Amino acid sequence: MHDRRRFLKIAAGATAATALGCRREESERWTPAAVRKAARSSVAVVPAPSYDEARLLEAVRGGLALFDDLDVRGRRVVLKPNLVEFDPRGVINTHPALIAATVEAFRLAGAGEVIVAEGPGHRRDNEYLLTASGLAGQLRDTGARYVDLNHDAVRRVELASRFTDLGGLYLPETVLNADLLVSMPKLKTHHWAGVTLSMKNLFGIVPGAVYGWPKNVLHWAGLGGSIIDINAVIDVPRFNIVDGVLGMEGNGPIQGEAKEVGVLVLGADPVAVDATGARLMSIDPWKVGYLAAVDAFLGNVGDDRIEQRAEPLSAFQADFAVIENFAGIKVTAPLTGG
Amino acid sequence: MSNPAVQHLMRGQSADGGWGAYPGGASRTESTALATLALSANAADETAGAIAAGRGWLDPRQLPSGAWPLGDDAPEPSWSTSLVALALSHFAPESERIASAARWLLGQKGRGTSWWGKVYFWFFPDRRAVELDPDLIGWPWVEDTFSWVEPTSYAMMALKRLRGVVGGGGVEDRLEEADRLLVDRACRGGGWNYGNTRVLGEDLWPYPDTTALALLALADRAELPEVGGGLTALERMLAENDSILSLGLGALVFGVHGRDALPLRERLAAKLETWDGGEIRALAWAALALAESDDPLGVRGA
Repeated sequence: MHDRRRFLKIAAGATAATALGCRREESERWTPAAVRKAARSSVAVVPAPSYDEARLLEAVRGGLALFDDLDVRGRRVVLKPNLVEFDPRGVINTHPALIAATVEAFRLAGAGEVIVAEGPGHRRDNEYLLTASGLAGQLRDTGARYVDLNHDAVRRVELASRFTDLGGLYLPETVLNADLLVSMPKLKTHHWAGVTLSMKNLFGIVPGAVYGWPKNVLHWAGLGGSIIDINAVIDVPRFNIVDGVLGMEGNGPIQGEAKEVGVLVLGADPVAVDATGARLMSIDPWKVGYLAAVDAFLGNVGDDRIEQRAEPLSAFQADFAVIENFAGIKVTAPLTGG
Repeated sequence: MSNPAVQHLMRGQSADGGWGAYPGGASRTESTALATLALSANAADETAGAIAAGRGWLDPRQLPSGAWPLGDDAPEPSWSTSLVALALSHFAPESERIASAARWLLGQKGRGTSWWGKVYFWFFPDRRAVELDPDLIGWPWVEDTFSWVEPTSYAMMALKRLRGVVGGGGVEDRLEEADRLLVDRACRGGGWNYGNTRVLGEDLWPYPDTTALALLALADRAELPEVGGGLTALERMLAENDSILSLGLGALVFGVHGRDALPLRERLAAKLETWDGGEIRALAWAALALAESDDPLGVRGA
């Protein structure tokens, strides 16, 4: 089964790479196994004005229903929220109420098991982080199993792209064995990467026990390149749900300011979801280096290749402040895209 | 055997003699070294078998380089070697096993600024995003990367106890520089986080666990203002943090630094009564904090 899926992916990748007309020197930066870009991607922008759990459940279920080919019946779904630090103002992490609502939504969709899994990148005190953030209470209430990815069993995988010199990475078995990996980032600016969304959120799957706190190996290797290489090597079906109810602007991902947006962004293509998230923040995704680089093989950045579902993006677009170093990534003209 | 953390540790031991990061997980070096050390600090007839089994898991996993891997699923040399060395400094301080571990630790260095970086920041000092001295070298999590507070603290605790084993000026030079690194990485309001004090002009806040580890590593440097500031910061943080890891490390530090650890020990013991699974290393630190000795690690005056 796995071999067949891999063969199909390689075949599809070879076709897609040819169709995209990739330059030779570019295509040498990734193997056919890394190519996942479809001709078009779909992204849903769903209103979510508050963290009221009942309304969030309705929003998530409504959003998931927009993706006909998302069949989780009997499958093991792994939710990967963004839980990196704790600040009482509550804008750093994916809100626990959204995580709980998503657990419930996937269960109602027939998932065999829904696991919440994270490997916090700064703090090692998981008990404190889970309790202070409120996630421990939600896990208790939902009965969802939590896996500390920093200490999960690991397996070394060879990278499918070469945007860093890492070559390979140890990654957690819980992620590698998932039937569906759901990245659940917060809608935030980032003082090193420009934006942090579905793709950057996968830094949290890199096990701290192997690579430390912070996961500085990835910074040494190059932040943007690491984001790409990690996303390109994840060989399991993906989905993404961005917590844009309350985002973070300015000096994100930790010390920025809260920004109300009132949306969830959903989609299977993490590149298209992140491009849409960037546009919601009035940031041009083509000017975010790692996003622009993956349009050739991993997913769609161009708004002409992203089908907007649910609400129009323009209805929720907000002017997110960025730090001075990233002033150049802000949009300079009105955005299109729904 | 009235130490409740010890009882939880005994129940959390895996069949292979080691301890996983969490009960039931594959055995790992960090949790096994800490659990074995914690049980030995609470030695009793009931714990002898568990200690022997823990050592039985650790011993054959030492690599030819002298290091220990993270676990069987990640076999390369790892930072957790410091914790085995610290444990062995109590069990077998004269062995070749510990000497080779100490030599490996001495060979591990964090990476400083490249020559290109030095030139760049000489011309553009304002462009430094972080406010620390990157050329102070301690210990990294991963070979040939930056030095951070936690791995540096572990290596310092081990090597300060193993001076006599490795000897020579090399160890003293490394430890002296590591002391300076921790001083440099102290947060402005006192205490330590993973190892950054300010980023892009914003102060970063300290954490209880990393503050406690740095204070254990600096147990012999009570005269430093950063130690006093760290103790004050730790006390402040523990008023709002009730995790077993933080309470355990906090109580241990207060004992080592001669402060009243009783209130923290009582909070810790109460928490442990309802323990229903969590990190083994947190339990191990708790068991050390509740041991009879005020300094079960032997770091005071090391």
